[in-house]
Amino acid sequence: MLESEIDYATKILGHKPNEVELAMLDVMYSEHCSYKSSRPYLKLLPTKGKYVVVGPGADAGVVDVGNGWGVTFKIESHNHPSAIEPYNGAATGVGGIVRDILSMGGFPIALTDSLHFGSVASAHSKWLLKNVVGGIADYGNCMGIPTVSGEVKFNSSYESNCIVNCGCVGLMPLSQMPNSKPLVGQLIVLAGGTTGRDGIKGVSFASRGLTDRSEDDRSAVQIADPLTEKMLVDALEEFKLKKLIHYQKDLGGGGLTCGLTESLGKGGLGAIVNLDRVFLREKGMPTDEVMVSESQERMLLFVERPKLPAVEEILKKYLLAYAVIGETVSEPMLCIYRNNQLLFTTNPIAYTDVPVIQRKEASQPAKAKPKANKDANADGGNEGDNCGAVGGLGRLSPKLLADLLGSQNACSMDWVYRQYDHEVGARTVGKPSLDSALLQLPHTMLSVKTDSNAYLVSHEPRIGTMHVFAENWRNIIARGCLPIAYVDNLNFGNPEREAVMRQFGESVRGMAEASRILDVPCVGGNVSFYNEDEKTGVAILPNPVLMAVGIGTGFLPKPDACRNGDPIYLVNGIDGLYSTIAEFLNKPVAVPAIAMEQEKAAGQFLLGQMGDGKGKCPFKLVHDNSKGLGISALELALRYGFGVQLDADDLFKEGGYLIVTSPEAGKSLISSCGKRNIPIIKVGEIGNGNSISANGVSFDRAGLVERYNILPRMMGYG
Amino acid sequence: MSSHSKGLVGVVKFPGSNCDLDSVNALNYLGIGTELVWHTDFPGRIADFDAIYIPGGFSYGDHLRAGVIAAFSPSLKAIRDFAKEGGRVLGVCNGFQILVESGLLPGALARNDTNTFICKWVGLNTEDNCSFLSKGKLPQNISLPIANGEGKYMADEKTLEKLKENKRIVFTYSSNPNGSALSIAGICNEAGNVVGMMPHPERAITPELGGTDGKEILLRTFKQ
Repeated sequence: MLESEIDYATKILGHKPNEVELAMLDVMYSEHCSYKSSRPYLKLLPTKGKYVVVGPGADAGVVDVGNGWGVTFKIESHNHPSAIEPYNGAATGVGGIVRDILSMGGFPIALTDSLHFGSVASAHSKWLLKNVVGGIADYGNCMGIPTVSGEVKFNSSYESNCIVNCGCVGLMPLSQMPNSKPLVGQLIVLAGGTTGRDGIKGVSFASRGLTDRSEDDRSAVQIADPLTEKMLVDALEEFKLKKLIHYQKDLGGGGLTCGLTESLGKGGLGAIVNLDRVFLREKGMPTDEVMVSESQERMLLFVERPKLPAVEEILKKYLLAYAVIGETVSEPMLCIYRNNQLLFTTNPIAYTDVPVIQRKEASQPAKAKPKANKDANADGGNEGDNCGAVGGLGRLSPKLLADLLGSQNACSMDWVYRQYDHEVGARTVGKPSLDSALLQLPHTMLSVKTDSNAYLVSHEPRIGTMHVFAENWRNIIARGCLPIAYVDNLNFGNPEREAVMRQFGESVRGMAEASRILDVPCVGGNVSFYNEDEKTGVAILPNPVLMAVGIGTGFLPKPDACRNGDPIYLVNGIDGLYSTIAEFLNKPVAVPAIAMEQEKAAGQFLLGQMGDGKGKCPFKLVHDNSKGLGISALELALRYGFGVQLDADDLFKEGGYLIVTSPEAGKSLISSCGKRNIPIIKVGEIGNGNSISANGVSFDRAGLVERYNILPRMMGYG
Repeated sequence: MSSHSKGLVGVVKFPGSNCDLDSVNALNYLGIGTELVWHTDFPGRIADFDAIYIPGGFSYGDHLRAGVIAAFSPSLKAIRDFAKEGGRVLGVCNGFQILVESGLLPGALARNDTNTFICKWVGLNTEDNCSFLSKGKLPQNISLPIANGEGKYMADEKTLEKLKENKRIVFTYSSNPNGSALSIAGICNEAGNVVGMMPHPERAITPELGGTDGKEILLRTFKQ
């Protein structure tokens, strides 16, 4: 905490904060809880729209998906805990985001993630990947929430500071949404896990750089218990049906301090809280630790007194530990008792109204630094490096395609998502592999996807972020759904550095612009700063991760309908965009401008063709082209088992959609695109048995299959 | 066999069951009367049911070993009596693990050879038909999803020999994903009224979900 922040809090409290208050303030004034550096920027984001029910500021956003149903979704980072204890760090990342969804009254129906590690060649990265995936798998699988969509990417800037962002989607009848604040005279029930020394001040740990000493911060990492969280989910469903809970709040970052002060602050209330009632995992925990412990699987339930017996009965049924720890009162003060004595009285507002810090942005992009070592900068592009850097990349040899296919950022992630139960819930119609996930809701399809492109963003944060936004949009469109809202997870370096703030500011401005033009509002998000290695001073590549949801009739690929000679088109590809091949070759990347209006028109046009819901869709396959058209086409050939003959100047060109139709439907597609000024080029054909070639160079199919499925071998299995 | 004839299927839910709703929805979709019952209430309700379905999930968080704690639930004692009288019992995934741990079926389910959870659709051969699947043969080759970390079927030589001899192997994998003995994916008891299987028929009910081969299995098991 800054001196000025302590002065500010002292003024509101009306006294000098005592030791416990200081600990509580410390967590609430952390970057992670307060968003004190990012708030002025987040205000730039459009947040309103016809589907938005609850926008940013709540535990998770809520959108109206029709017929009385609401979808609530959110994404959050667990980077620092995962960097030092990957299994529990990632698992509790899932647990934490699920509880945000529960707070909003949602029944969790899907998990997503965005994972970034150093080069897969490094033993450390292998260890992180294996355990992060294991943690997500064990937690999500045990809870019975399918992990349906995600991405895993590698860049050596993440070697010591991996990125682990976990998202969750919940479903609920809008009529069952809980109230937005507690009322006077309600009992406060703490339910779920017990309170221990794990996760002490986890948010403060997350709000500074990782150092050599970070290994000693393992007590800042929480321990995961998915069974207890599953019991919470089931209990909350029963509460909902019987309307037993007035208001509920998860305990995540900041623990009891955050849960209590935020709830009370919203209601303009106070509370009498007796810490003697809190179930402690070990004896002798001092009061400050009880107040800031981030032990998992805990929720605060605000209950009208007559309903308590019914609530208790359900909590007992589900074997959940619980205690009535206090009661709300009208005087807006939080009174903390321990050992049957009033310890202190404190004003909740001092914790929740944290003043903004106006950070300085560098006025110029950072100059390329001299290389610290051979690897540090090799794939860590610097903003400003982009002047015409990759001219000619598009006409590289087709043989390079095979090498790229067998590389860490282009190969299949089957090894990862096969460890996730992506089908439990029996809603997963569009399964993980290509494009976004498609889930069957009671009356509509719901599509969800996380996307990022840190390499591109690092070179030009504003336009790079717009490209990420467009990719996220295309992934939802490719599944026959209209994107209706998104959440973001902004992973950046130290905000005290002007260069980092410049990246952050530019990125948010780009996001706001893309969001406004595509008319997809932001309904929530998370900012993670201090992602850097203090030892080397190297910040991660700036990494805004976006997660959009869309609704519609849905589109599923029809590989069985593909015939020899069916044309493959690239629709609305982006001239000069080559991020995947550039990163693979360690070359700086040009970041071409993106025509967002045209992006919108192309998406809407394709959606109109796909989404009439009458089975008249002229497309056999639609695939987002984010890795370059050569790779995208190979993915189709290898996934669906047919041959592909590519014939295209620009095998590495990105952006737009690959679309396969019949030759006849292709003619009308060309003319429709022409009328709308949407670029379309034929890039190849399906067929010639199962043989694969590009610009006359034939590939050995078995060899491609081996390269595509290389990840387990890179990891040292099989 | 219970005395009434409503054809009601009791789906038992343990702490940590998580395929319970999918199973109830699938059975309802197929027109099979179904009721979801919490495991401690199950013994008192068992007389109301014609058949029992033990769904998948992570009962008691798979603590100690998958299925072992649920096997000590009072509901399992009731289910054992129900099965002894010839009542039909189907255990899927964790349900299979519970049946094995409670001794209703022989053998054990161990960690997959890959040492990972595996979620994918697999080809299955329908082998010897046990009594309640026997009305008209199932197709020889079907496709169902598996989703488990401990799905490797193991038993001693004698047991495996007996399973083969008595035609109690219900399903085998066409390509063994996890090292299961004899590629076993599902077995039944001697009387043929208790079946355990690792693949999930309740996830294979509509073409949109990837296939419909689960339909016949549930219909033959529960709609006689």
